[in-house]
Amino acid sequence: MTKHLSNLISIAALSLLMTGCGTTSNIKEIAPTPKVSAIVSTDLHYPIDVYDPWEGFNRRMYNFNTKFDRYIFIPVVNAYEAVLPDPVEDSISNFFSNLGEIGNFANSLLQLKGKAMASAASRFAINTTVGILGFFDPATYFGINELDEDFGQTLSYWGAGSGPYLVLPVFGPSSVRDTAGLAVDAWLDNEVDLLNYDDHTNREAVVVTVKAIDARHNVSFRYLQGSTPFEYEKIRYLYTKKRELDALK
Amino acid sequence: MPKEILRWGLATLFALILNVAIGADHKATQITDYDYPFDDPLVATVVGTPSDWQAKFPQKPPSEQLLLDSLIERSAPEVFWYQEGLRYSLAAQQHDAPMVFVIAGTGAGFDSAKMKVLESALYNDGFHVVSLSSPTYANFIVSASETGVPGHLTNDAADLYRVMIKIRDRHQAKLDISGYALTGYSLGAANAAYVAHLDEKEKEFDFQRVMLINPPVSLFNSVNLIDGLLAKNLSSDPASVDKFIGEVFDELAEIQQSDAPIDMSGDALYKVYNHAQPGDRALGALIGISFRTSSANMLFTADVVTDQGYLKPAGLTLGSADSLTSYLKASTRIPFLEYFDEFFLPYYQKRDPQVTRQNLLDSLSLKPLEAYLINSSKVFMVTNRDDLILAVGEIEYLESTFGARARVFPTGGHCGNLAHPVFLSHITDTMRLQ
Repeated sequence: MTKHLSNLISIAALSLLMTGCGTTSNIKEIAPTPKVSAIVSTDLHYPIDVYDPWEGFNRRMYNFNTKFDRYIFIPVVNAYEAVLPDPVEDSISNFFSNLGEIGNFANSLLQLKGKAMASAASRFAINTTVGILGFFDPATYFGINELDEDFGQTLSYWGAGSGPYLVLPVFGPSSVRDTAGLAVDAWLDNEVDLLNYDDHTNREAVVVTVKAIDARHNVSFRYLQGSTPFEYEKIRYLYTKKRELDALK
Repeated sequence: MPKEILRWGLATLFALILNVAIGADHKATQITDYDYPFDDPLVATVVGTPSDWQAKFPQKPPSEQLLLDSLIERSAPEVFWYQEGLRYSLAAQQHDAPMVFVIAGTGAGFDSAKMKVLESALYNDGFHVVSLSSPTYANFIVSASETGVPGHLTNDAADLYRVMIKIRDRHQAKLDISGYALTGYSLGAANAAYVAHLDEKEKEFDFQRVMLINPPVSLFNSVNLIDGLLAKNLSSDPASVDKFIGEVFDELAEIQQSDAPIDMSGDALYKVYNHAQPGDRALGALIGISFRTSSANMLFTADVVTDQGYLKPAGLTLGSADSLTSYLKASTRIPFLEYFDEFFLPYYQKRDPQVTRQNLLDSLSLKPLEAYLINSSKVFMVTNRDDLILAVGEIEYLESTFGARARVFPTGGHCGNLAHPVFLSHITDTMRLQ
């Protein structure tokens, strides 16, 4: 990072020197000092700035995710959407979202959030029974909305900062804190073992795959479609802001 | 039971006949029924047409996103490794039909919301619809801009024309194409005028109808008006732009997180508007920032592609994992006038020493095409009396240039009423080929 920056500065200084001894002409030259060094102050904090000390690694991972998405994930999701009728897709989403109430409940409990606990518990009870094992979502119909709580938020509730921004393979934008949160939430799922993986080892691979496809199916975002050169910055900013607001709930 | 079916069948038949009979009538009454809800052009421009006022179409266009191999000899710079060619979409009819090319506005892609509205309207009116990104769109600059510096109307028209020929040639064998039409909104309308003019010479398409939707007259005036909204509504303190962007995102995110979260699809902006009730200052700043953001994308892309050393040092190759954050900060800070004088003008002077500031400015306008636009019976224009991108006197200029082929709606701001049924049916009625 710093090497790159000093490169920038020395090139900027060099071009300044060069224009200094250039010939005068009535045709204007393009900016003698590259705007990036003329305008941007390195010691000012800009709202778009996010603590991202591993940016090089993160950008490589972002690029990897783009390719993974483009050549594997999205084609699989497209096939999934082409094969299954919409109501079946929705039922599968409902099913996974119902399993997720376990995590919502545990994390609301850990954050002492009564309302979210009640929501998770009643949604799970209603959707597992009336909603036939969670394939339908009558709870939302009755006005009980899902309140997402995860271990990343629990950590934040107890005072943990987000730590550096981190782009995870396949999962995408995250932070050190939220990555730890993901791991704990996954561990919890495993311990509770609602789907009884312990006795059916093959089941786990299938369910994890379908869950991943379902998750991607529910997100319309597509990586690097070519609209802006600054997508990495924009996503990093939006993710960070979203998590800050999640923590305020 | 059979009796039941017979009765039901008869009723349906009657309904169908009635529908056909009053269908035309219905359309005719619609024309006078312009009930677009916003009188404030800033609100109109930001919020657009809320869904209750939007035109509804029976068929969803079978739009296919497609990729055209890059038309440019130079290879894409490493930092744009993901630009694999020119993206566009085609919504094709199953039968013999005219093909319409639609050109997006400043910084907008072929799949932007406004493009989708036009695609729906024109597809439902029986066109094969080809949607093209603006020449100022990053993907277009990298894959189809010969000079790499868009905004020059004559050059942009040549780029667009090459693209359109390639697309036609690619699909001609499989599609039955009975004729050609052309349209575009905002900057895309100015692009359409120049493409139409070029076609009079090249004769590749022989467009039967050309519709300019909310065109600028002078790009320079329009851009300064929009850019001026930023200066006028935000303090000149450089950090305030960033701060404001931060506040807007905070507001959006907060609404999304609120107890009754807003579904961010569909009517998001209208809901946000109703929730936050921003004043004209905030709306003006918002329009300015949105323009500045797309101009930042364009500036950086153009500078990297041409390696002119405007934003980044010349000769510095940015890799696919290099940080671009400081370029984002720098490029959003640059007012259009500065970009014009420090990059655009010198760049074109270098290519052609005859270019002066004045003659370059003059060329970025519909005025060089004035004689053509006055006399060409196929070119139509629709706009709004309160369009934000028109300077004093420019509405009158458009009216006198296009004469009976001009239609001016009383409200709608800049493209805010694009999805209104009366506005859209004016477009489709005009473009329908006999």
